[in-house]
Amino acid sequence: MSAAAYCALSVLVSLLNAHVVTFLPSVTLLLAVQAASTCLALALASRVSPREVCVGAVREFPLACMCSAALWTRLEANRHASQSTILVARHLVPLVILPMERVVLGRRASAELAAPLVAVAAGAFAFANGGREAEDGAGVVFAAAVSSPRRGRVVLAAHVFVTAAQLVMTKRSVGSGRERGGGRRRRAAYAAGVNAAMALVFLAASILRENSAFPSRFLP
Amino acid sequence: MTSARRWTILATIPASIAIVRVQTETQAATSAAGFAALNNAAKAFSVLVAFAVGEKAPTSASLAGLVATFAGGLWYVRVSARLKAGPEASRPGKTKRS
Repeated sequence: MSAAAYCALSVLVSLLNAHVVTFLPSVTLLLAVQAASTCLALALASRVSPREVCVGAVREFPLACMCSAALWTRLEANRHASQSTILVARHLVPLVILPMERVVLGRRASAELAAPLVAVAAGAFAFANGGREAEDGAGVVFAAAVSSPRRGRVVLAAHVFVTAAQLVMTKRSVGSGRERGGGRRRRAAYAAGVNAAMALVFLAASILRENSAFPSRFLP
Repeated sequence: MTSARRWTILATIPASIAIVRVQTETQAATSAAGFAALNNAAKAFSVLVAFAVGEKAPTSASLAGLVATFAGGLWYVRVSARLKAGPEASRPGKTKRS
C-alpha cells in the first residue's frame, strides 16, 4: 500500500515541480517552505521534541547540504530538460556512485554489475544521440533550453554528481535501515532534523539571492 | 500570477510533506533493492504521464535509448539485490576511513 502511495506521490511531485519551475524565477524560498513544513508536520505527527529536531539538524547538517543541492539541481534540471532526459541522466547515478563508494566506504564493486551499467550507459548514449538528431537540433534532450543546451548539460551533470554524493553520504551517515533500527518515531525524528537543516540552507540561499550575491545565471 | 499557478505552488507543500512521510515508511518496509526498483517504476510512470500531458515525444532512437536505460536500471537493481543477499555481498577492499 505504502509502495503504491509512494509511486503515485513521486509522479505527482515530479510533475508539480516540473510545472512550477516554468513560471517561478527562483525555487529556493519554495524549497525552504516545503522543508520547514515537512519538519513541522513530522515533528507534530510523531511527537518529536524541538530539542531532538535541533540535535538532528546539527548532526546531519552536511548531509542536509547535499540533499539540498540534489533537490535544487533537480528542480533546475526541470527548467532545462524534459522528464525523459532527467530520467536517463538519473540512471547514470550508480555509475558515479561505484567509484565514490570505493573511495569513501572502501567497497569494491562486483564485476557482475558491469554488464547492467554498460547497458544503462549505452541506453543513455542512444537517447542523447537520438535527441541530437531531432528536427529542431535540440530535440527532447534539452526541450526547455533550446537556446542553451550547454547549460542544461552542466545542470544535469551537477545533479547526477551531487545525487551520487548525497546517496553515498546517506549510506555513510545512517548505514542500512536495519542497522539504524528504531521505530516510526525515530525515523520521523531523523527526517525532521534533516528537513530542518535543509530549510535553513534554502532560506540562506534565498536571502543571499535577494541580496544579489547569489548567481542568477541559471534563471531563464 | 494567476490563481491556478498559486494553487500549484501551494499544492507542492502538502505533496512534499506526504512524500517524505510515505518515503520513510516505504524505505523501512522494503529492501534497498525493492525501493530502488520502486523508484525506477515511479520514474517510468513520470515519463509516461509527462508524455500524456504534452511533453514532446522522443524520436524512435531516443525511445530505444530510454527503454534500454530503464531495462538496464532494472537489471542493475536485480544483480545488486542478488549480490547483497549472497555471502559475497560485502567485500571490503580496505578499512573504513572513519
